[in-house]
Amino acid sequence: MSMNTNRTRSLINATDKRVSDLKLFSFGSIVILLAIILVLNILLYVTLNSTLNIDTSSTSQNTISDVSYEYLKSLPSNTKVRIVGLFTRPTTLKDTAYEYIVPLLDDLEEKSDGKVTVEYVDPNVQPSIINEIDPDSVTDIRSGNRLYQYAVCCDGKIRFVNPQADCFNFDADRWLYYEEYLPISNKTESAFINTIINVTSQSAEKAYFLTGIQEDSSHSTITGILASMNIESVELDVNSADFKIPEDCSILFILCPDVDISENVQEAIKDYINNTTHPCNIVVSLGIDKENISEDYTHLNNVLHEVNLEIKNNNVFDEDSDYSVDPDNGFFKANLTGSFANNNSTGLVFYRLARNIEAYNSTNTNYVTEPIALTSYYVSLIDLQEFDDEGKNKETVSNEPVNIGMVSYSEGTSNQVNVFVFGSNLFTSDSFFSNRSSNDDNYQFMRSLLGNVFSTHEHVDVPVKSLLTYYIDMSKVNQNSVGAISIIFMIAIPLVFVSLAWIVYYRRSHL
Amino acid sequence: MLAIFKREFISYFKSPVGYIALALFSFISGYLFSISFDEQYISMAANILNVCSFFIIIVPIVTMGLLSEDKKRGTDVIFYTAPIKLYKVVLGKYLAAMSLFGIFFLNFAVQMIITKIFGGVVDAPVLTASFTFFALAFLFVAIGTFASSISDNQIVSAIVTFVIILVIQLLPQFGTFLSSVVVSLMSIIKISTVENVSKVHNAIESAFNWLDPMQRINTAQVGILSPLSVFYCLSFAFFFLFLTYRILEKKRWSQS
Repeated sequence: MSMNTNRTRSLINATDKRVSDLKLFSFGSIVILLAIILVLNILLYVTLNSTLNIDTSSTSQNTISDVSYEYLKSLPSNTKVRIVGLFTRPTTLKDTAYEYIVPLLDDLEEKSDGKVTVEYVDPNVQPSIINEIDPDSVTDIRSGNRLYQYAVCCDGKIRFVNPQADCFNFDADRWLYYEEYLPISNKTESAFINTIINVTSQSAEKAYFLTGIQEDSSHSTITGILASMNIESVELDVNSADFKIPEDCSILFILCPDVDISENVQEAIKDYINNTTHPCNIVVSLGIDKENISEDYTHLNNVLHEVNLEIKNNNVFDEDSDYSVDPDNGFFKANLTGSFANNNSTGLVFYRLARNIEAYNSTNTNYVTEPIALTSYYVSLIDLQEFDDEGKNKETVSNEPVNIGMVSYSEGTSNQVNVFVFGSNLFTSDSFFSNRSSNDDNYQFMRSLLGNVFSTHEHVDVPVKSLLTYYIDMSKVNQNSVGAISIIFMIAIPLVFVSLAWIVYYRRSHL
Repeated sequence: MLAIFKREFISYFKSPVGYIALALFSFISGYLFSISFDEQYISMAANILNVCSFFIIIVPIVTMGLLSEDKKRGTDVIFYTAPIKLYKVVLGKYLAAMSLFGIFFLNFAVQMIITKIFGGVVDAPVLTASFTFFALAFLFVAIGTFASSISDNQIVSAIVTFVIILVIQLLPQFGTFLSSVVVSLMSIIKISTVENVSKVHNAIESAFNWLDPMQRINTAQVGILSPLSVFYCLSFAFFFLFLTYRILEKKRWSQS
């Protein structure tokens, strides 16, 4: 009896040990497999990351182009550019602007060989990021205006890329007529690469904006364009003692002055044109919707006469309905001419209450003038100073296109001089640009113009990519086909399966 | 294995489950397609990936009866007595469930034909989206198979599958929450500097995002096929199938 009990006990013990061993083996094998899988995945992620990724998009929108790759390769190995998206990394990319940005930046980071890092930090979640990227408060990042933008930082320099305005070209007509932003092409890569160039290179050039002439003081759009070319913007007060144009001035802006410049400023600008030792550029824009309606700009014209240009004292009113955008408010479009026609995608620019700019007949053959933007062949010129018997402004009709923008450039002088004069302030006005976007024809024109002026600046000409479109042939779609598709896919097909399920269920329950 | 596969696959159509799953899948994919058609803008790749978000509902329905039904009926004893390896049982059932996903995919094939008829674009990203669809299906069906092996109640299996997939889908939110907690703790115990707060925050969030298969494959939305993400899904699918195999095997030795 006792022997049997012992044998049973030893059998039970042996079984328990076997079960315990099997349990240990089972548990151990699971843990080991999990560890192997985790380690393998981590190793592959660390070593290969996205190098194995295959971009199947037809426009290669997720891959940086060869020119960008070559530029990144050319950067010194100790370059550290930090791109910070000031928001949480978006998880849903499809049909958002980030579809074209997030994967491209991942590829850029991957191919930069550690020179560029990309991260996403929402300042609302992690406010310390603001101090981290802008410790000296050199930007307006603390105002919250930069939320949802990308900050590109390197060695204390910081620039911003707006995922909407800076990364796409938009259809200007669509905006004009429907007030809708319709992206037409993707320039994300160009925006980021040129911003990287901007923060990694040293700037030696300055743009000066004349102040103290009741000018258009808000010029952040132009400043932004200049900043993107790594040109510093500085204000220059005409009332300062011993006024002169600084020797380091690469471009001088006289934006929509309400009053004429003084004689000493006139002489200073003339001196700048004639005696500066490096290329000299001047941009003048005028706007008669301000207080300067009857200002004849005697001194400013004296400067312009030096380069064979003249501001006429009249208001251009296009009578051709094809050129009218909003005639009640004096808002028209004009054709860009000659080489300027390629400065934007449409070859058109917009102007409002513009002055007529003409070539000035002088004997100075060192300067050649060219029209930039021309009206239609049917234009009224309303004189701003002379009135008829009824007290109305005198009006003359021109059957030839008139200039609302002209350029004068030097030929035969020791230094290169370019003077651009625009009769309307819509080429430089912040209030105009702020209601529109970088899709705007005038904005594109100005960006291209300034880009050409400073074309010797380091930049990478990254090709613009087209956007993916999945529109079906609208001529084949009508209300009936939409209804039929909805009924077939949402009702008929599911209903067939539900009916089959019910039949199967009924048969089984009646077996 | 083929016999188990056949038996399981046919059983989907001998019970209402297969038809209900097909009806549900057809409705979801049809709804998304109809909306796109109405907007006259059909991105099949986006539609395919959007349907993946509904795996949380579809997968539990498809997998809940895979092994729990046999347990409940007691027919699982055949697995232990018949001359067949247990892993073949697991694979047979798993592949049957995956085949149902193959049939689901026919919905997309029809939609692609209609898109082409109406002059739409069916391009390479559709292929990427399809790969991703099946990679996720492989993973989630494996999770469902595992959940089905731990209970003899189909409802319990379905709930477990649902909860696991839900937890997976919420991983990024957990990451954000945990990183906020850690950063708060760091500031409380005064070890936080601007730089290390940023690093810790990013590291925790990135780790959780890395673990989430939905996050990892989201580049497919824009036409990027990520072989590492597909490998990630397949390797964890293998892990869950191994887990299922171990659970079935446990019954063999724990009963002896």
